[in-house]
Amino acid sequence: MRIGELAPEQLRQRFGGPGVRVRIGPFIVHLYSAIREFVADFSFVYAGFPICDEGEVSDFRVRLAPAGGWRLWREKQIAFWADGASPFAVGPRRLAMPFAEWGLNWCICSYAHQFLMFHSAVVEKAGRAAILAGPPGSGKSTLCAALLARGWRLLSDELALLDPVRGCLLPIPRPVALKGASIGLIEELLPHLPIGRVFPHTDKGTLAHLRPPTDAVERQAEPALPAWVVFPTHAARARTELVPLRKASGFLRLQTNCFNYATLGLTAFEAMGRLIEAAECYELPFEHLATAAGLVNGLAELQPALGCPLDAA
Amino acid sequence: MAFCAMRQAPGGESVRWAVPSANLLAWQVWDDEFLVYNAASGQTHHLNLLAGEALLSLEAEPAQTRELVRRLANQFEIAEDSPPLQMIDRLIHELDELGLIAPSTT
Repeated sequence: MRIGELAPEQLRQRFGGPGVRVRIGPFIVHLYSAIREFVADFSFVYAGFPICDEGEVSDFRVRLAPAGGWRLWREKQIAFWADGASPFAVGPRRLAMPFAEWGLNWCICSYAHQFLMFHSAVVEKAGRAAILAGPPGSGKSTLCAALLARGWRLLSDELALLDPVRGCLLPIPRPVALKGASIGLIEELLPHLPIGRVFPHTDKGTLAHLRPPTDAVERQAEPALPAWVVFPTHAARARTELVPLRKASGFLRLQTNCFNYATLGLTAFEAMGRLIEAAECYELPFEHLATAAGLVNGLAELQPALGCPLDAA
Repeated sequence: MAFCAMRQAPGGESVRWAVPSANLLAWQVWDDEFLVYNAASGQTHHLNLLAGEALLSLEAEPAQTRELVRRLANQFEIAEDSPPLQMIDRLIHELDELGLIAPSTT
């Protein structure tokens, strides 16, 4: 059963009572909340995600609950709880959905050290994945959306999960967090994908969540092998081009986007070495989104689908 | 060279340089670029061809500076006084500063 198959009243009862175990990529998140707006927002953008059986062990137990505190005189507050601890200061209740997403990011980055984690979008075509790595504002989310519009599969908009043993990237196709002007831009690029409620005045400006494509969620257990590491940088008047990077430079650039390189130490070094060995690395300064997406798309067009002999390309 | 005088054994002989046994080094080598991970420090270092080959050589077997120059000259098929090898004292100093090598105690 998927979240979107439950009626609103059923959702409220389950989230407010025993909680709901949601399969999100390689994780099972057991989520509790009696906050109606949050349940509605979450259920809208996570509609396609499967609900797990009660017997399945969850990776994270997350609760969004009303909170007190001196800020109450201004507006209602909420607290984020993960496995019985509340790691953040309380936040405004009207921002419960973004608050939960940030909290889930925190859970994954704090505990999921079975993976090497990068601040990156990941998209896949014909079995090969492109890691789009960069800090906030580099344009990786809009480039990711433009590639989705060209038939690439979304593995993640924000977090690349590399299995250090198998060398593959695991999908975690959570809703895409859209900020500011990118909301309208992505509405144009991906008109078939619904966008949830718009949250003005967050710490990151105006924010909204894009419901992930159906195929991305349905194939969230299907990993992909890394083939390209691209470092996009959006800048006005930039010449849009793919600039090949040497392996060591690609490694060091990607290392700066890795959340748990120091934690995993030698395992991280070796896993990243294998990734970089297998992948081509590029810088991608760009001004025009369509041109940049065309260049990345061209990488997949130039190479045969994974598993095909070269002469079959 | 100033750096030569920094690590002299008693009697003026050059010290033998080695990768300390606590440093478990892991390598990624792509053409003339070397990345080395030092498990003792948790640091990853980006080395050029000369530095990478020098450290690999010292990891395989400790050596005095002169011996290291001889090895590298043979490996690269260049003269022992050629410009890259004239920088060897500076290179050894830098590897020492990074904690990748130290005077051998054996």
